[in-house]
Amino acid sequence: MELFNHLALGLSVVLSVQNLFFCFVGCFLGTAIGVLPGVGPMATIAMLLPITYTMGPETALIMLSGIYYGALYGGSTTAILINLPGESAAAVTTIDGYQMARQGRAGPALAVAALGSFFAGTVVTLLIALVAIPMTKIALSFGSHEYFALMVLGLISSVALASGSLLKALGMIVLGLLLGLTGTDIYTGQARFTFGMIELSDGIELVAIAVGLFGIAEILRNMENESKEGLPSVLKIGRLMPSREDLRRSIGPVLRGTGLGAVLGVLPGGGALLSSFASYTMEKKLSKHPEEFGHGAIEGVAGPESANNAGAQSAFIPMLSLGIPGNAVTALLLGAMILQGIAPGPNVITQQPEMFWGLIASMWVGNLMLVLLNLPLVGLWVSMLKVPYRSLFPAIIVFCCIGVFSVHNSEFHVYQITVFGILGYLFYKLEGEPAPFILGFILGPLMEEHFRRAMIISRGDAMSFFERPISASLLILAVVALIAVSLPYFSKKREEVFVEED
Amino acid sequence: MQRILSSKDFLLGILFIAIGIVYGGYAWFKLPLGTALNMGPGYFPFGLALILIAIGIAVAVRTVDAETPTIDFRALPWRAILLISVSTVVFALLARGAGILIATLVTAIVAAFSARATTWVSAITTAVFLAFFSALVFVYGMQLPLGIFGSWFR
Repeated sequence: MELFNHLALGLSVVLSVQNLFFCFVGCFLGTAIGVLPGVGPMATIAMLLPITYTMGPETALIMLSGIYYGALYGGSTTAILINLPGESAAAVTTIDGYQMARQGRAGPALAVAALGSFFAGTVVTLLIALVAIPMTKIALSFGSHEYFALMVLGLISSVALASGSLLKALGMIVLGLLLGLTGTDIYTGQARFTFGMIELSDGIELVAIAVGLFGIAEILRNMENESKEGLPSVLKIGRLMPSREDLRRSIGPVLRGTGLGAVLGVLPGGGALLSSFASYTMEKKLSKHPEEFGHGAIEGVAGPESANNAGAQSAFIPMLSLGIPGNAVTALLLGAMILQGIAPGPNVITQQPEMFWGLIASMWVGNLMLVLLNLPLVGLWVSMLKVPYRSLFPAIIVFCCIGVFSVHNSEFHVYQITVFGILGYLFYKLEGEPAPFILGFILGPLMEEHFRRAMIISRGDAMSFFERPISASLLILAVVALIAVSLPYFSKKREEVFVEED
Repeated sequence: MQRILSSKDFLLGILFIAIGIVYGGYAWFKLPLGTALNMGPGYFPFGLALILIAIGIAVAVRTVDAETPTIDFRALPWRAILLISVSTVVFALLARGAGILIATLVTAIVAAFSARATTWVSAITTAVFLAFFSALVFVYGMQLPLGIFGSWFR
């Protein structure tokens, strides 16, 4: 019964005119940037973060989250209709979704993607509401040792589940942790790593880093293939309604995708992208007609699309209940919470119940809006693809600058975009992933705080981390995860999951 | 030698090592390290810097393997890197003094020319649209702390 009271509280928050409006704005923008290749949710959330200052915390988070899961809906439209993932998590949808569209079955593919996502969104919203309270109860029993160990495990597994080189990703994490410490030491108040720049005593601005790494660097990446401008033609949509046979074949994949996504999303480094890849691999293995995959199997759309939405939403569980983000987007949303003056952690649920339950309820409302926005209006979104990139990217740059300038009304932070734009592009060229970097950047100060506190409590004895059962098991798990992914067997499996099939 | 200097692993490793040395050096020379029992502001970052340097060395050393991917510096979009960087700097220089209208206009025009296909007509059309859009939405609509015209005009 308690659950219904909470959800009722949440719904009453969402159903205010203002919150409903900004939920819609978030979903609308999310769909738009999801459809457009080259503009992702990270850059958009970072650009809009400053304007959420004047809103209440619940309104701000409802809108920003809407951008995140809205992008997943929009991304699949582009994937199905023009064989380009509008958003990275829709990459696997291009395989079978585009084939379906070529066979004149774009409508059913779009419908199954949207309805599967909606189903997954509904289930995971309930799941978050269910596990939030028990999770926060566990978290409240954690001391600094456990928190530190949990963050170590989180960072390590975020690397283990990502694609690419393990060593480089570890380096990116440590680099993020280190740069995150720039600013003022919380224990002594001493400024550090400011290199004579007084503006740096508040630390490097998260919004500027996010905008540089995910907005500007992305534009530079796109400039590499400038000569290839002009998108492939958009396929006809045809009738939307899936046939009875389509629906029958989709039920299993949607259910499995939802379950898989819900689990993988909770893991650090999981979330939408991994969930969709894993679901595709699983459906192909389970199918009685594996030969149809790659030639327009509806299971290859239904499963991954449900999984990526489920994964995106269950990634909110650790962020909301523990205050520890598992992926780059939730890290940024956590930053938004901090900007609103809310200290993230297990206390949020009792101190900010309106924001907490309002955000959860808004996910369901938002998903409903997204189905309505995406299915009947699909033509509108497709026409947006005609906007040429050369008009789009100056807009992104301008909005990034305005947003970052407004955070502190300061030029200095705009220069940080310049620096992190170039650095972000360099990372991309050198194959250093930005997501673990951002995760480290956010967690750096938190980790140091808990590490130092733990060491004071245990009188400088580092072994105390292994004497407390929970922190010991978390750390051992981290070591096991690290060893496991460096074994040849697992690293091969890891590559397999991320291999894109043509 | 050429291969090593353009190796992605080598360059990223060097980047890790360089930042590790800068931050580690700062922590060592300028901050009290403290003891394990009572850590100073330099203790934790110094430890991280050592780890980063170690990872950097491990990444860079992999270059010995002849198959590491390399980067072609001549193929980088230098024009875009330069003009986009300039455009953000220009925004910072103009925002307060000239105001959002002019800052947006100039920034958008400079940025637009980082694409080779851009013509004056398309750049100016986009920029004018963006300038009015930003003034309307951000200054009038969202009350961001920027003037339509800045302090130079008062």
